[in-house]
Amino acid sequence: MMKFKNPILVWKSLGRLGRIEARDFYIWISPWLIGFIIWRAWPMVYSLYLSFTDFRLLNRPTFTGLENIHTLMADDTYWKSVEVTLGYVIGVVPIGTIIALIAAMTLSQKLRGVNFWRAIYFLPSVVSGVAVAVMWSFILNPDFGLLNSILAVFGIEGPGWHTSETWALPSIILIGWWAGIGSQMIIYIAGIKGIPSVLYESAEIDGAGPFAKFWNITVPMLSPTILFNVVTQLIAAFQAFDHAWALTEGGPNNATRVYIVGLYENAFIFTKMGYASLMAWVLFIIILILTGVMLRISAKRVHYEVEV
Amino acid sequence: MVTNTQTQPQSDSLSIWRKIISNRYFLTNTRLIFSYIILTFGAAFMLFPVIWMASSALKPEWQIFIQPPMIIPQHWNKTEAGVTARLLNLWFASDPDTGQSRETIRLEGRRYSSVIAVTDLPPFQSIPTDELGDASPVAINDTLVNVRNWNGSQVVAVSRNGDDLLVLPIDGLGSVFELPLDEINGGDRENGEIDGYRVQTRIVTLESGESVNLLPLGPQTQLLTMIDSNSVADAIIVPISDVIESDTVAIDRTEIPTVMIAGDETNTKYVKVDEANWRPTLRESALLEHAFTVSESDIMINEQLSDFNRSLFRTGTVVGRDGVEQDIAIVINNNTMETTNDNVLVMPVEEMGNAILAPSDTLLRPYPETIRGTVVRVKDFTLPTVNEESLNFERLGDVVGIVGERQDMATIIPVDSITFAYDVPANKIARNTHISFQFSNILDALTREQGGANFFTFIKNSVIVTGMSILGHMFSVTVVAYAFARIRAPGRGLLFSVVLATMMLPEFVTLVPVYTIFRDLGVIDTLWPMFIRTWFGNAFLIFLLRQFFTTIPMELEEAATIDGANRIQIFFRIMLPLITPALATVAIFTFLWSWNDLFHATIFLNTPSNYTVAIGLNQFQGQYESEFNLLMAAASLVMLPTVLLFFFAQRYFIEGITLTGLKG
Repeated sequence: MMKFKNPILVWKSLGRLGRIEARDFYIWISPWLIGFIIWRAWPMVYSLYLSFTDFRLLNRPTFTGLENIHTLMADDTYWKSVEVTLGYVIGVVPIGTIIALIAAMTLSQKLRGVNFWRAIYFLPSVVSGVAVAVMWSFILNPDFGLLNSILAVFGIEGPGWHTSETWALPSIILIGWWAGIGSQMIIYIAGIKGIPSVLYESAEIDGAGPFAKFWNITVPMLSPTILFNVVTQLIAAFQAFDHAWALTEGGPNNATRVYIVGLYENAFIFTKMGYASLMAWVLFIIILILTGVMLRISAKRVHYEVEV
Repeated sequence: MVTNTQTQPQSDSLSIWRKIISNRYFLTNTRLIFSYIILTFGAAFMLFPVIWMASSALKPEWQIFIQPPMIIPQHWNKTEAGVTARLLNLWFASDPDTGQSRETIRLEGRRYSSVIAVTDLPPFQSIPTDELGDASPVAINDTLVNVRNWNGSQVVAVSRNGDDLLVLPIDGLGSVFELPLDEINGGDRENGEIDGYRVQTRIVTLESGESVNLLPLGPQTQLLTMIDSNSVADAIIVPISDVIESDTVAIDRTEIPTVMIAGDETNTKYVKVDEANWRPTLRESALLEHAFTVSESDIMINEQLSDFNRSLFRTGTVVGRDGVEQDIAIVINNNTMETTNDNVLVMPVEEMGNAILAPSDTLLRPYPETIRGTVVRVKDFTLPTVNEESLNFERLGDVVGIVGERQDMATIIPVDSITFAYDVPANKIARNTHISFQFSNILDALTREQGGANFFTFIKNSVIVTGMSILGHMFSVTVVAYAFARIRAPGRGLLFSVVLATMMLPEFVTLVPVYTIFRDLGVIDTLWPMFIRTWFGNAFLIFLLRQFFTTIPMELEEAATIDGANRIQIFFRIMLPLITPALATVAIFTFLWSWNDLFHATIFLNTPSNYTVAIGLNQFQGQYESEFNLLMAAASLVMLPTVLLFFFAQRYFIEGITLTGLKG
């Protein structure tokens, strides 16, 4: 943490050249600084204010105090969407992390065509979320989709996937894995590559098997990377929109109404802007608290190599 | 004894296994093999959806719904039904006598059932229903019967006897045979008593003229009648209403139902090979020249439809302003429930000579054109012309208006032209196809209209948005990152931690106020909100580039300063060239974000002419309905640029992700 100093005194303490340089600095960063104020700082404050207003886009916002909060508490659709979002996060993040870790472990070995394999796994992460949803809607089609055709070969009658209330969320989660594990895997591979090979060598001399090496070296050494990945995945999963919107528009019967879909609908379809601002702030606070808790809990378990 | 002889080598092989397992090479090898297996399965999961999408994008529509799925796009080989403008699908079916596979046309099938003559029956047994196992078809004498298990013996259930079932032992069914279901059902019912049980039988006259009392056993099987594909050369088209069902004719050993044409004095027998929906068309040029609009109430409408080259139109008489009566044919009747407007588009009868029928499936996806205030759906078409007995294609491209009422027409061929025919089960025929990629799907997907725009518009918009975003980030991010890395000023550290903090700040919190700003600026539903913010920097990319700038040795800059270069010159001449790889990363990620951005497009863009590809594709989903091949073509097109970019610039993706944890 840096100490706050009186800016006027600081300015005076600079020499002529120092002042020119400081002036240059502020000119050079002005695009970001202006953008920060227009697109970040002011909107943050304003949306906090809007959370306590009735704002229908066409009229001016009118202050209504805690009314939005009361409405939110009694809004069944909202609570359904919270439930769906939690289900999505729980479905996507832990299993996605495990799949990505397995892929990364496998692809950190000396294998033939390792770059080719990595490219295949990473490819889904770069393609458009809508195109991915459209593609999967075709594969998951209940009547003639590829997945149900394959299941039929084994005598299984596949469910309606995204058209069924039970299977819609699992479908979105499946797509979430498919599209998400590639970039996580790349980060894990970088983390694994960063583990000094000396550690493995000395462990081998001590007679450690592959699993002992994995638990006692790889996992602890990789724990900061895992933490970083899990936290960013968590934040991203709470903000998931593309797949749920393009595949089912939050349906059937709100089964895939993830938080941002509800936020979008309230803000831009029902134009309840004040209410939507409150929803946004609530999610922001949830994410902040969860991230804080994650970092707190893991503080003891994550191994940071201080001396490096 | 048998087990003993096998034990010895087993223990031998066990010890060999032990040796192998304890071997170091084996350990690494199994791990590698295991890795490759995992990788292959994983890669199949990652890659196959994309391959399936791309392959479906190049398929004709019928293949999309095919079970089992076809992975490689195929084209169905077709044959022209004479000069009738109909194309018929070709099948391979093997001749039951020779086993030789022949090119055939499929006719409507015939149902068969297995039967046994009452005189050949083994003795009945009456068994409680719940003692019988499930039925499964078994072939006896090439005839399928439903065999069920009963106390270890195999029986066939025949009839109900109170709560019991009458069954026959399978061994006694040696004389079972197959007959067409319609022939069985055509026989007289006979309620007889056999072995003291009441059983319903049928008395059927066989081909040999012999009348037999038969007991139907089931199951019913569907056999398809396949005929010689060359036999359709003499095909003609007649309205379905003129087709009269006739008797059956035997060709080889197959009975084929025939039809006759009403009013045909030659009494020629035909076989119906196809039924289709046809639409009357008129040349657009003729419509533009001669058609005019009248109020329906001004027409004296004739009772009878009139036939113009097999196209049926309602005709009438209308009195012109000059008092002269004119015979007209109604070509478009726009009179619907919703409109009070009763105007109809008519043509003078004497101009109806070029009316022509066209099969509806050749008129798919017409486009609207307004002729004399009436919307006519028109289509570029190779126009058929008429000769005496059939509709003939004149291979000339022309634009036709689709007018009049649809008509159901049958394609029929004279029985005499069939050289062979046989009945085969449905699983014994195969489509006659060849591998062919239907690239026209791509153009179809691109040009499909949606609210006055098509995919070309979306691509143009996306190119503008991504281009402006890349330029924006190139400018703002480099400048700001350079300042944070190299220009000293009070407050720099503090401001940089603000940059880092905004990396963690989810964007949706600012969404509503940002929307109101754009609304106040009047730029909602323009492309501006999609890229303008890139000109103000991006926290992730600033962080990324700053890391790159700090790795450049100070000395380079100092040397340049001594040589008299100012900051701008240093920035452009020294710094930028040194961080080109990082700039590539910035450009690539910006491209990905803008090209794939659905969320902001959904919020900021309302009219199709302003859509980017992401929202265009999303809105397109509903438009395609069942045309999944076109939808997949569109999705592939949206994916293609990012996939190509990825393959050419993989390194930068991976670098960017590992440095900052950016999401792709």
